[in-house]
Amino acid sequence: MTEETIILKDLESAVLNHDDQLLNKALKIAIDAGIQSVEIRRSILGGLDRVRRKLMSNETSLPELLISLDITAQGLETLFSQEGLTPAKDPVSLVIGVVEGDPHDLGKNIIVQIYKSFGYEVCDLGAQVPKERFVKAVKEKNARVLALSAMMSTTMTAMPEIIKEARAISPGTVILVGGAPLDEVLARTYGADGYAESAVTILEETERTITRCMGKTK
Amino acid sequence: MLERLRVNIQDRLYGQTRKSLDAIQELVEEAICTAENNVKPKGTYHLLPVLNTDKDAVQTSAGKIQSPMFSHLVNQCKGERYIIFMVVTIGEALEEMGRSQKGILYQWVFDLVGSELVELVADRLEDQLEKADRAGIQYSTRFSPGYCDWALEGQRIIFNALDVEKIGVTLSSHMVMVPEKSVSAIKVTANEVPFSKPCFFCSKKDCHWRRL
Repeated sequence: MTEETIILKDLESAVLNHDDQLLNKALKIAIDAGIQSVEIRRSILGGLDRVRRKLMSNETSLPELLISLDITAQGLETLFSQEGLTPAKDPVSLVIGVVEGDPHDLGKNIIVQIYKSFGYEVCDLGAQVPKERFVKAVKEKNARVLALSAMMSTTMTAMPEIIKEARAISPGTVILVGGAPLDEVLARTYGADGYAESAVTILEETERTITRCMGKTK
Repeated sequence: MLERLRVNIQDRLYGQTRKSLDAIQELVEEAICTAENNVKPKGTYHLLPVLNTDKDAVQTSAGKIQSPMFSHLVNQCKGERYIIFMVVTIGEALEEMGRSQKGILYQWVFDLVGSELVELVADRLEDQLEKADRAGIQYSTRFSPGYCDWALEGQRIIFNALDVEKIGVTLSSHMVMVPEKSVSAIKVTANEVPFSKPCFFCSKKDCHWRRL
């Protein structure tokens, strides 16, 4: 095993085992050794992805994923604060927010951190976002994906109008909805392209929906 | 109450984590200390007599409680029947701390501690009510809008029945309470309350909220 491979393994292992001290140490060594940022990033995300997959198979817990997410964010911030390093080429532009009247943003914040870690260019509008702000952001950011969250049956009803107006202004934008009161049937009824069931499967669902929508437009 | 809070949080965490992680335990303690130093729980309640009932709703002077399950529960009660309306809150201190830029785990832990604490405050108010009241009177457990078959719009009746602003809680047009860590509920009280909760006669065995 080469020294570079050992360092990259350490980075992956640091995220997997929630070891921020090992991450900082390995990151410094990796940067000083001139290892390409794309390789460093791949290793950090490899660790995060392993935690995510462990959670999919119930081998770990949500708080453990959150620790790994925090460590990943810290590692990527350090990495990309180095001069001349950029997170990703042609990142997917994504607008996300919790619909008007709904203050519950914890789930959305977890999703935002997952998207950011995996290289999405995220425009986070926060909570209690009026329809007009979603539509404006989709247009201004030329969003590939619009992700809407609602945690209450009284607020999720705002979604169909947002989806309709976002489609009118940007027909190519893929629209996902998620949150406690929603399911796949409601997502379809509301006119969304996909339903994001949980933080664990959000990446697969987003990629699957983008691919399916690309197929439709061909 | 804080000891009970510690126990409840551990129960919740052990449901999620197979091992006790130091990073999580430290944050839980920080959140509990923040609660101890900064949270001043508040609550209010009021009793109104049941005016009449049908199979779908219970009528009070504050409005109609539109819930067939709760109505069925009230209809089983014997003697003079009253509805207790209650709201408790722990304010915004924990919420605000959780939102400080210290990472997503931090926010999750503060949210968890806040949710558990406000439920304990509601439990405490129920205990006080039941201990202080007349002998021989029975009570149901609390029943909240947005659960079972009672739509969230039921919040309006609770807020009609109480002066909730005096404890710093408001209701948005979307029926969301501010501060978020607040609990609103009703209970029925009568000489005889044969069923303490609708779960006893509910056929939905797979309900996530079933309390039997």
